[in-house]
Amino acid sequence: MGSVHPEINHGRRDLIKLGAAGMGVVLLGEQALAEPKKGVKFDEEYDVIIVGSGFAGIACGIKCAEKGYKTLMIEKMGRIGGNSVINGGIFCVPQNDLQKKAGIKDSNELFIADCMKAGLGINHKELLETLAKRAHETYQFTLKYGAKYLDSLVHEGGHSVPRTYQTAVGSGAGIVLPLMEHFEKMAGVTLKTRTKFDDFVMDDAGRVIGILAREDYRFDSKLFSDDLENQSGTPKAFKATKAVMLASGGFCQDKYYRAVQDPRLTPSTDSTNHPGATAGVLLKAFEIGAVPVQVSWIQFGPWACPDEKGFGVGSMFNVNASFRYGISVDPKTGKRYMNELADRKIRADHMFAVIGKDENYPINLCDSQAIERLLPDHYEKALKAGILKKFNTLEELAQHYKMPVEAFKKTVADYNSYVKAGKDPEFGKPTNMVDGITLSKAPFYAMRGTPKLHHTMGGLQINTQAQVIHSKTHQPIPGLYAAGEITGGVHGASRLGSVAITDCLTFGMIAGENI
Amino acid sequence: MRPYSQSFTLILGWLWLFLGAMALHAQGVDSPPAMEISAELAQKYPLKPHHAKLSFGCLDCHTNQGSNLASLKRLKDDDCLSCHQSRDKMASRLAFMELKKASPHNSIHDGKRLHCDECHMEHRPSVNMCSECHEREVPLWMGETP
Repeated sequence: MGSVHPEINHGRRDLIKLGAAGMGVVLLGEQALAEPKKGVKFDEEYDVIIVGSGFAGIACGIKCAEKGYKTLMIEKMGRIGGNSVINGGIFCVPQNDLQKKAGIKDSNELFIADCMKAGLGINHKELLETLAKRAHETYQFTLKYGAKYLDSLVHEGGHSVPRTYQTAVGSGAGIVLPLMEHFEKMAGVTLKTRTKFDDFVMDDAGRVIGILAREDYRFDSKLFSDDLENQSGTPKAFKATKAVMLASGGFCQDKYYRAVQDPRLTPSTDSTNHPGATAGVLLKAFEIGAVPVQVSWIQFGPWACPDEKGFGVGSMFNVNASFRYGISVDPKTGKRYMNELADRKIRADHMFAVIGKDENYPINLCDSQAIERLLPDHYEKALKAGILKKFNTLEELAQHYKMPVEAFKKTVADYNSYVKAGKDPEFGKPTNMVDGITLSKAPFYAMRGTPKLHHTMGGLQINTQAQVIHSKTHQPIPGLYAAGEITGGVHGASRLGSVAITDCLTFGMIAGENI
Repeated sequence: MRPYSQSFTLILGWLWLFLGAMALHAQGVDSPPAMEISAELAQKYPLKPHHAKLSFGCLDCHTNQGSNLASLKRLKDDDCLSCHQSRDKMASRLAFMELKKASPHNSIHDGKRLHCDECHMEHRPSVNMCSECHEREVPLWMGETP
C-alpha cells in the first residue's frame, strides 16, 4: 500500500470504526482499498502540520507562527520533546562568540572536516555547509526565545577545537521548554499531545495535503511494535494547506526496524532514547516515495553502563573522567584494547568485540586526580547508585572484576609511561588531552562499560531547503518538509557529539522559513 | 511521634480534603446521582486508598461523561485539577524536591507540562516515568507514586 489517497482514506476511517465492532482487520483492509473514489472529510484545517515536538519541530513551529500561519503540532507521546528534552543539551556552533573571547581559532571548513572524518566521508556535504553557515543564527534564535547557556565551552570528542555550548540546566529541555512556552502563546497555534500520525493524505498530483491521525492515543512501551499493534485513539483527518513537516525523530527504540538495519541488535539491546523513538513516520514517508539515505548507520554511545538503564548516572563519569583521564580494559586480559578518545563508532565497535557473546563488559577506570576535576554530579550519583566502585589499590580493583592482577598492573604502568612520554604507541590516544594525569593516586574508581543505541544517522533525503526528495522525480515531494533525526546524510556514518542539536534546530528553522 | 507542626499540617490537609469532598457533594446541580456500584465493578476498578477514604463514586471523577458506567472514559487533566486545583499548586507542594532537581511536578525535562496520568493511575498501580532514565536515582529521590 502506497500513499493514502483521499478515497482510500475514507474507506480506512470506516475500517477503523468497523474494526472496533470486531471485524477482521486484514479483510477490511482489502475492502478499504476497493472503496470507490470519495473525498476525505477533513475534521480540521491548518496551514502547516508539524509531526513531532522536539528541537526540529519547535524551531519550525515558531518560524511558521511568526509568519502568521495557522499551525498544528502533534506529538504522539504525553510528554513533549521526545529525545530533545532528555539529552545532555550540548550544542555545537562553529566560530561562536565564546571561542572568539577565548581566542580559539575555528572555521567552517574545520568543523566540516571534523564531521566528515567521523562520518567516514559519506556525509552529504552541502547539508553540513548549510549547518556551518547558519549555526550561529540558530544559536541566536534560541537565545531570543529564552534558552540559556553556561559561559564556558566543552570540548566534545572528535572536534578539533572546543566549539560546544552547554545549556544552563544540563539538558536539551533548557532549549525546548522556553521555546515551547513561547510557541504556545503565539497566535494561531495548536499543540496536541497523545496524537499519533498514521498516514499522509495526497492529492492526485502527488502533493501532501494533510494527514490522518489519532487523538487520545496512548503509546504502549510494552508492545514489541507500538506502530503496528497499538489501536488506541480516535481517528481524525487534518488538512494542511501549505505543508506537512516531519520532525518525528529517529528509531533507536524500534525493536523491529533497528534489527532489520543491524542484525546484531536484539529486543533487549538498551538505548539512551525515549521509548517512543520508532520508525513509523519514516516508513510512511518511504511509502509515498521519499528517498532513504544511509538508514543502517546507527550510532552507539560508548560511554554507557550495563548495570543501569539508558543514559543513567554512569555515562557522565565515562565521558568526563575514565575515557579522558583513565583507561578502558578487557577484564579477561587486564589489557587496554582501544584509543579511549576515538570517535563514538570506533570505540563502540572495539567495545562490542570485547563484550562478545558472553557479556564480558570492559572496565572503565580512573584515579583520584581525575575525580578531582569532575563536577560532583558526574561521579557522586553513580557512586550512590552502586554502579561506580571505589578501590584503595589497583590489586583490589583487579580482584573485584576478576582480572589477571599482574597483567593489569603492567597495563597501568605502560599507560602511565605513555602519558609521561606524551605518546601512546599502542592505541594512539591523544595524550595532549589528558593534562598529564596518570593512574597513580588512590583511591581508584571503576565502572563496567557498554555502548548503547544513541542516534540513527540515516533517514529521509532532504535538500538544503529541508524539502523531502522523491525517488521517482529526484525532486521535492510537494508539500513535504523534514528536519532532524528523521532525515539522513548530515552526519554520514557517525555523528559527532553536540552536532545533533545544531542539525535539528537549524533545519527545523529552515523548513519553517521555506514553507 | 510526629513533630507538632507536621501533625498540624496533616490535620489541616485532611480537613481541606474532607471539606472539599463535602463541597463536591453539596454542589446540588452538578452532583452526580447516587449510583449502585456492583461488587464486580468495584473490584475491577479499585480506588487508591486516599480517594477510597473519601467514598468517591465513579461519577465524582468521571464528570460530564453521562451516567452510563459502561461507557466511562479516561479522565483528562482538568478532571484531576478540579480538586487538585492547578499544576502550579501541585508543583508548589513538591517545591522542596527542587533542591535536588527532582520534583516530578516541575522537572528540568518537563517543567509543569506532564499529564497527571503519565504516572498517576487510579484503577491500577501508578508508575514512575522518571525511572525510564533515572532508574537508580528515583529510589533516592522519592517514594512510591501515589
